[in-house]
Amino acid sequence: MLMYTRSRQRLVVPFLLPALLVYTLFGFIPLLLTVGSSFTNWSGASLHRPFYGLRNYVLIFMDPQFLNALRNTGVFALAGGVLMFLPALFVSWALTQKIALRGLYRYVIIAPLMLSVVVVSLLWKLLYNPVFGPINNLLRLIGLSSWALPWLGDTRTALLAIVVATVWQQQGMWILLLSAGIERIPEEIMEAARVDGAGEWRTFRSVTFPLLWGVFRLLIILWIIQALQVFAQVYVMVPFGGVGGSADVVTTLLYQRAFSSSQFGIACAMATFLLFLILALSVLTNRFTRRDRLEF
Amino acid sequence: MGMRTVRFVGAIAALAMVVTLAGCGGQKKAASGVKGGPLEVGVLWDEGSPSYALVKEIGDQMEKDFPGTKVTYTFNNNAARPALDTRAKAGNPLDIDCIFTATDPGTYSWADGGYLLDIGPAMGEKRADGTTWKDDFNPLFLSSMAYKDKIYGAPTDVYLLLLHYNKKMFDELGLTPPKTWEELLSTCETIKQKGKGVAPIAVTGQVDFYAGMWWDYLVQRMVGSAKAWDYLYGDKDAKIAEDADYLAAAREMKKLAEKGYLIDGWQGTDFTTSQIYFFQGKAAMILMGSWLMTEMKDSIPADFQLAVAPFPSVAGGKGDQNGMFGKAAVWNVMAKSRNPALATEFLRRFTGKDVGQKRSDRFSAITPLQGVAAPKGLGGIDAALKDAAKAELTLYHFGMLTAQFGAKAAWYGPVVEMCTGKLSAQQALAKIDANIASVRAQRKAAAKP
Repeated sequence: MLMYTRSRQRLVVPFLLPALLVYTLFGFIPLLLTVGSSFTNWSGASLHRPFYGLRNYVLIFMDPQFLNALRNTGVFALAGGVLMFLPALFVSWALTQKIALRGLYRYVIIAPLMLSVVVVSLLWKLLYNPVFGPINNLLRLIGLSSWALPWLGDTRTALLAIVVATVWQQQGMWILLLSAGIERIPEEIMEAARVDGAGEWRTFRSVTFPLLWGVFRLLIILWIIQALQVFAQVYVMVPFGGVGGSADVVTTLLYQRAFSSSQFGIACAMATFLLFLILALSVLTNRFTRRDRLEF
Repeated sequence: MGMRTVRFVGAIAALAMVVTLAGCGGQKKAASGVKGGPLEVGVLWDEGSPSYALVKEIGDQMEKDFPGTKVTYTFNNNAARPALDTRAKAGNPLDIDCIFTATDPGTYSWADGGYLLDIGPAMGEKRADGTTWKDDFNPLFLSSMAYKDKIYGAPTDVYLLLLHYNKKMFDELGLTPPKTWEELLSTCETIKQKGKGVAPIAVTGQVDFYAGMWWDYLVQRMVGSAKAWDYLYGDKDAKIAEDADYLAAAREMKKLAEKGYLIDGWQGTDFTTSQIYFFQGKAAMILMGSWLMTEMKDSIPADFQLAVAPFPSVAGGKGDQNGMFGKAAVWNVMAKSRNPALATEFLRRFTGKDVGQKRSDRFSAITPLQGVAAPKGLGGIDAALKDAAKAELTLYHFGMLTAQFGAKAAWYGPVVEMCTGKLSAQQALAKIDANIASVRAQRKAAAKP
């Protein structure tokens, strides 16, 4: 038995090694370099990286643009989370019911996932165009001209407009995963609830949702990780952060600091802070959403 | 053939010979002391592109004229800069690079550090016709070449922020390009009233420094470049919210939006769309860099008559009323060049009038050279350059594009917000003050030993 275990362990090593090598080269080492550079005054254009201590961290918290970007990132995660998960939960439940054209609905909902983020962002940028964009033209057509706003140019709507575009594209993924979670729940449990007199809403609230909680909280954590790192949508739709920085997020700001102002040290400090923020929020969310495991 | 004709042809031939010899003499003088050898030239263009081919033409000729010369071309765009800067600092630079412009303080360390060759003596050498290389340049651009009484480079192309307008539309409405701010406002009003839905001005709110061109020019005209530069980069805790000139400039800027002179939805329109509006005849004017024509050449209708004019003067303004925002693409001979005389000769040819004319004809480039015909299809550029010959040239966007600690957004953001109606002129200036104070504090904290 011992020999068998050892030979198995020996076999695992060559299988893991390529992945470990790639991860080390393209994940772990750049991560260490980023954290290391955050303690330097590196301009990005020189091999010289003067040590700077914690000064970059002090500087980023002196920067109102960083604080604004941090707030916007939080708003994006929160608004996106609400817009993403509430409808996704109900749609995924609906798609597990026996309804006509269920396959078609699934296809339509999942289809945007096939498109790249850049394509989707450009598409929505056109939709939001204040003059020839279909959204404003439709609003004008039905007599709601006052609702026709410069969506990406209005400080009140710019970030929300990007959230909507993101949700439109990515909701299919969450619906798919939640649907899979719902379908995993044994039909007998649902039947038992119905036999006990529970209606559909009660069954959903008291049976389906609690049994789905494990999947749901995992998706929330994944969304937090993804939302705090949002970049492409914002960069394509409002490359300069929108009017008055209304849609600037941490990643777009750090990109600007690095590549426009040659402040790689500061950009790395922002990236490192974001990394630890994501870690902290993921751990906290994991801890506070943990419930007793339901076996079924 | 009669005797008279023979004499006439002979005289012409002799004259031509004299002219040719004189020309050769001039060239020899300019190229005196030049010996062939290896020469590494920076190029900003892809191999095989027309611009690259033109540089190579010069290099090929140099190889013929100076035996032993071998010219190599090294890509020196932004992506290649870190490696090339390291090379330069290690004492192994390109022979000719594009690294310093005297209007950009961000590049002064190259001159102060002794990395650049002073080509002033070569620039001042008299040619056969009594002129010098320096005389070739429009005086407007000398400020981008000279630093601390030395000349560290020569430009090939220039980019200026100009008021572009639809000449055909102006003619139809009986308008002429505005020379003063008052004329600009009345021109806008006429277009708004009689233009059948045409917006007077195309602008984008999505790129703050593009909308900010209007702000920069108003500040330059009404406050003065030096004062603005000092505010943005100086260490003093100056404030502009209390400054009457800044306030007046902000109010004039706000007028454009309040009076409805900007395209509908300008706040959410990106810059390409705003440019397309202009070329589709939906807007009459756009304040933009002189690269607009080449950038949009595929989108310009065949019958579109593009013309440019300088930014209008502002009565009572404290700045240079003919001043221009722009940038010259200045090429430098590096101090540690392996063959400074050969490199200087290359630069002399690279910035020669014949090459300048080719750049104008082939690439619609605006050259800093006097006597070179402006690119076709850009009416008014010659007059604009002539008028500005004795004016000041300020690096566009006040050098904000590469400024650190978010100075760009700090300077332009509140102005765009003001035009959306979210802030008053006074509030916008107060917000700029707060932003710039934060930039200064970060700068100070970063500079502490």
